[in-house]
Order: sequence, then C-alpha cells, then structure tokens
Amino acid sequence: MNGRRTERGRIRRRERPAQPPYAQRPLFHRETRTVNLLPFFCAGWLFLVGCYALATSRNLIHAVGALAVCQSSTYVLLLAVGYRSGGTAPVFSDVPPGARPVVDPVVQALTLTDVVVGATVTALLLALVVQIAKRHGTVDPDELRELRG
Amino acid sequence: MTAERVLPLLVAVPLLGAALLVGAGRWLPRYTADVFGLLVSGGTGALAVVELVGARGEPGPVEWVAGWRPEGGSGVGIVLVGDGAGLGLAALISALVTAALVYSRRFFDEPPPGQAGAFPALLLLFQAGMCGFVLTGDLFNAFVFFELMGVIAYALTGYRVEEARAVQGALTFGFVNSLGGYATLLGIGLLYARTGELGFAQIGAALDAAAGGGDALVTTGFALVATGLLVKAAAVPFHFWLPDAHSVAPTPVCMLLSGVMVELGVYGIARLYWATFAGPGGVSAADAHWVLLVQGVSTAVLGAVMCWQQRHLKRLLAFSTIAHTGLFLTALSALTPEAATGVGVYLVAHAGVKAALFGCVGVLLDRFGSVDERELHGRGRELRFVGVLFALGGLALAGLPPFGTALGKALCEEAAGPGATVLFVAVSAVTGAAVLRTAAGVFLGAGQPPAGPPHFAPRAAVRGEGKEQRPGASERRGADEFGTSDGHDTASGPEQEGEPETTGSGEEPETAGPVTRAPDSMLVATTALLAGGLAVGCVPALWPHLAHAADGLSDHSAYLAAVFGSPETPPASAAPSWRVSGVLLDLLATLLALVLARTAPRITAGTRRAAWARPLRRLHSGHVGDYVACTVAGMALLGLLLR
Repeated sequence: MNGRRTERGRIRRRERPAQPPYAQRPLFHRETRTVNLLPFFCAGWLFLVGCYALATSRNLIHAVGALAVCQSSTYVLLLAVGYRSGGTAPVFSDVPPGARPVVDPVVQALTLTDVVVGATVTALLLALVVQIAKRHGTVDPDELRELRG
Repeated sequence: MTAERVLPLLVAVPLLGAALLVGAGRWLPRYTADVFGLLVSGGTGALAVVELVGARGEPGPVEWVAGWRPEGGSGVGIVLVGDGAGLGLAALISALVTAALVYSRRFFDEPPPGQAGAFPALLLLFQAGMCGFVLTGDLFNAFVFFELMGVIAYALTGYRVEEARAVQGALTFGFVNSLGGYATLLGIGLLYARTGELGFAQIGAALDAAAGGGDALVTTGFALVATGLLVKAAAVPFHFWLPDAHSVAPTPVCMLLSGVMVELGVYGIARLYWATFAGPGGVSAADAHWVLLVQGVSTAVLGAVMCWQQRHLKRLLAFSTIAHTGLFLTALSALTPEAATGVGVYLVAHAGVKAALFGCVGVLLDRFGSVDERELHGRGRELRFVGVLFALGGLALAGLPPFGTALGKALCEEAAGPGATVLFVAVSAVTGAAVLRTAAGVFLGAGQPPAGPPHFAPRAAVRGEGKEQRPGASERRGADEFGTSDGHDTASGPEQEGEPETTGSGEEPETAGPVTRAPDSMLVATTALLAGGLAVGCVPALWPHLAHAADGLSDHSAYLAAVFGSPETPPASAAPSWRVSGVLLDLLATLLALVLARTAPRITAGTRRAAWARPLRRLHSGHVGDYVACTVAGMALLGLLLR
C-alpha cells in the first residue's frame, strides 16, 4: 500500500480513461487470476483463534482482548478486499484522479467505522468487567455461576 | 417536506433528543426529562405512521441520504427505504419505546443524582438504532445500526450496575452479540469483494447479473451475515445470551428486548434473503427453506421445553420469546408472501402481548421483591387487576381468539403446512400453559403451595443465605460436578444446591420502597400494550397494511426496482382474515394450554421434570466461554446446512 510505483506502471495507467475514484472498484473478480489468498486465510485464522481464546478464557479482561482479536480479522479481511497490487493510498491532493492506481477507499472507510464500533464495544465491556470485579470479587468466568438453567 | 425527506428524521430525531437529554439532563428535573423523552419517541412514531399511511398501496419513499444517488450504475451513497415493513416496524418500535417510557415513569424512583435524563436518553438511542436498522437499505449501514442497538442494549441490560447478576448478564449479552456482529461484518466483506457493492438491492442486482448460480463465496457470505442476525433472533444454538439478559435487565428494557429487538433479527433474515439472495445469483430457495426450517423448529422446541422448566418469571417469559421466534422462523421457511403476512401479524401482536406480560412481572417485582414463582405463590391475590392482565396475556400467547397472536398463528399454520401446524399448536400451548400455571399459582394460590411441605421452608432460607455468600469462595463448583451432587432423585430434588437453576428470589426491587399499589403509569402502559395485541386481531383496517408490508418484503424484484428508482407495485395478495379452521386450531391450543396449566402443579411438585430436562438445563451454564463455543458450533452447522 505504501506505493513506490515503477515508471512503467505509471505510464500504463495514464493511458486508461480517467474514472471517478469510486468507479475504480477492485473486484474479487474471476478474471483476477492471482488473488493472494494469504490475507483471507489470515482473517479466518484470526477469527477462529479469537473464538478459541474466548471459549477457553479464564479471565474476563483476556476475553475482551480475545473479542478484539476476532474483530481484527474483519480489518484484515476488509483491507485485503480493497488492496490492489501497486496501488497507493487513495489521496488525490497532488495528482488528478485516475493518474495512478489506488487502493479502494470504501473499505478503508468501512474499516475506520469498524474501529470506532470496536472501541465502543470494548470500552463498554471493560466497564462491565470492572463492575463484575467489584460485585463478584473475581474476573474468572468459571466462578460466575448465578445465571443458569 | 416530501415523504422521502422525512425518512432520515426517523433516525435523527431520537438521536438528537437523546443528545439533548444527556447534555441538559444535569439541570432538568425528572418530570421534564421524562415528558421530553415521551414527546420525542411518540413524535417519531407519529412520523412513521404518517409516512406509512401516506404510502398506502405504493412501494413507499426511498431516500438517498444527502443526494448521493448512484451514477452510471455505481455509487457510494447510502439509501433509506421506507417500504411497508420498514416503516411499520419503525412505528412498532416507537410505540414500544413510548410504552416503556410511560412504564418507567414511576419505575426507577431514584435516578442517579444529576442524571435524570440518562435512562430516557438510552431508550431514545435504542429507538434510533432500531429504526435505523429497519429503514436502511445498505448492508454495512445495517451492521452499524445493529452494533449501535447492541451496545445500547448491553448498557440498558446492565443499567443497575450495582447488582452482581445484572453486570454478568449484560457481559454475556455483549460477548455473544458482538461476536455475531463481527461474523456479519466478515460476510459483508466477502459480498463486497464479490460484487463491489454494499446495498441490499445493489448486491442483489450484481449477484443476479453474474453468470451462474451462487457459488461457495456467496453462500459463505450469506451464512456469515445470517449468523449475526440469528444471534440477534436468538435461534438455537445462538440463543444463550437471551435468557441471561432478560433475567437481569430492568423490566422496561425486557419489554423492548423481547417485544421487538429479538424480532428484528427475524426481520433482518427476511430482508437479507428476499432483497439480496432471492434472485438467480443468490442462495437457492431450497437451501434457505431448509436452514430456516431446521433453525426454527429446534428453536421453537427448545424454547418451549425450557420455558416450562423455569420458575424465574422473567426467564420463563424470555424462553417463551425464544419459542415464538422459532415459530416465526418456521413460518418464514415457507418463503411465500402469505407466510410473511402471517409472521408480520404474529410478530406485531406478540410484541404487545409479551411486553404486557413483562409489565405484569415488573409490578410483582416491585411489590414483593421477587420474581420467583414459588416464593410468590398465592401472594398476588391482592393484585386482581394485574392477575387478570397476566392471565389474559397467557391466553393470548396460547392463541385465544380474537387476540392478534391467534390470527397470526392461524395464518402461519395455513402458510407453513400441516407438519408445522402441529408444532405451532404444541409450542404455543406449552408457552401459554407455563404463563397460565404461574398466573394460577401466584394470583389465585392454586395448586400445591410449593413452600407447603415443611421441609421446603428451611431449605429456601438456607438458599437465600447461600446466595449472599456466593461472591466468595463457598460455591465454586464446575459444571461437571452437577451430576454428582447428592441424589437429585430424592423428594427435594429441584431444590438441590447443585441444580442448574436461576430462582429469581432475592431480586433487587426497582423502586425505592415496596409499592403499596401498582402505580397508574405501569398499569396504563401494560393495559395499552395488551390492548394493542388484541387490536391486531380485532381491527380489520390494520390487515391490508400488514399484507401490503409483507408483499413488499417478500418481493425481490419489486425491492430492487424501488431502490433503483423505477418503483413497481408488487401484486397484492389478499388481506388476511379469520378462517374457521384457524379459529378451531387456536381454540384447541388454548384448551391444551388450560389443561396443561391445570395439571401443572402436580408435575412441577414431583421430581421427574428435573431429571429428564437436566442435560438441557445444564447446557445453559451461564458461562460465556460455553456460549461462544456453541455460537461457533452453530456457525459450522449453518455452513453444513447451506453446504
């Protein structure tokens, strides 16, 4: 994403008709033959490992962290979806739109929103954990056994 | 101001009202804050109703926020779609929030000092989140509203932070729902990767344009997005958060959670399937039918069984909500406009009835400081009016005509076929009977008084003391020890310490002192809600609106056409009406419920019920790790069902 483009790439891009930035959708198209699958596997692994940590957690603060790990899988997935090889950050202050390949700005907006949502959730859950520590005297989920059946 | 321009107001007005309440709450007296909250929520509801009536027979207004219309087939704008289903649900949400605000008028006698506006503000934020969720035509936007209403709901559930149980229930709720939300977002990412679009309609159009049917990526995207919605809808095995949250949430919050928030999950599934995946490039109707049927039937059965086992009244009602959500999903699996109409009628009537039942339980909690069926036995004799409301609510749940629940049930049975009819009758009879059993025990003192045999009384006292010590180390027992605890088959089986059970005794009353008589505001709100549930079945003028909303919801191409600016009126199906067969089945279910409730004291006084349902009860361990594991297992199950 931090793009140093080759001179060749730049010239080739210039020959394309100028498109509005939102029309440059990096699709996960079938014709895109070399989609790098690693980020997608990475996202899946992050989600599952976060779930595993949540399920086996012995400390609620750790569990909140595990939930954040689950969420980071969504960041990885979204950014991987929007990535174009050779693309740079979608900032057009110094160059006219369409002059160079950029990564998808939409997924970056989504990721940013997602970060805000995640911060809200994490803050609220941590506040609840603080209250649990005060009221139950423990942060071990194994010892919270009041609601059952 | 055109009808389109009003749509964003349905979200913006409650948000703004909440901001004002929080900002100025420090200086406001409680009365002003409450009235202001009522005006805002009621005004929003009125706006939704005006929009709904204005769009009569038409596909409804569509607004591209800030004028960001798509150009040349692509765009990044966000669309709000005010079709019948969306606006109708917005009106229902607003009505319930208003009722909850009226109910809580005398409910929390002591708001935190200087924070008179906090509770109404939270309810308004909740309303904004839910209205946004039902109106948005954009999948990512729906996720954001989903999380917004989720976060507010966690905060509202744990509103009484001083209470040990409340924070635990809120935390479980938060973990499971947030995990579901992130699964949804993963699915949205995959769908965006395939189509480059984020709107329900835009993704649907792009999928339809692609050659061939839906492939693994599309199916995975559907499964992931549906996971979050099924968590919200409390389908098995994603449902574990719901009883815990309902057991501890303040009563007005329970009204909203059970009345409408859980049902929004069902709406979300219907919207997602029909708007996006019902076309040739989406998920095949057979797959969708199969998934909904399996989820619906298992949810309904588990909800009914667990509902019958409860003695904690809020928990009992929570499991009955799970059972009814299962019925909604089962009916929806027919995937026809008629089924959608039936679910719509059932859902709206259920919202009123269930909220009214919670309202009655709230009165009991304030009067006696307990929501335990056994502790309350016979103590409700003085609260005649509440008793009548509670019993009527139980009968409505069972399906007594002319309640709207009975009409909805009859329509669903007709749409879903004979196999489902058996399930509908059985499940509504069991949930209704559980409520009626409680009503007879608490308000009439019917049946064997549970504390009657002398050996029960001291045990109850011991349990009460044990509860106080529980935060300490006295009760650190793992789930695996339940079975080995001494003799659960003895006469006092259900009272064993190791029994996985939430009793509901020793709850914190939500008012300052015991209420001498139920405050008028609580009774008015409860009565109005029950009357609403009755009106759905009795006012034929409502039925064409519901049928119209269901037609719009269940028509893939009409939704796409409306969003892309060339609205077409979907073929109108006949407005629902009472049929003889439906009424007879409803009466059968009501009769079954009465018989079951009559025999109930004998069943519950025995010990056998604990033995056969024990594995199920043990599954609801209250452990957040177990619930997360079940959620992941559910995701795997969903994937298997969709292949």
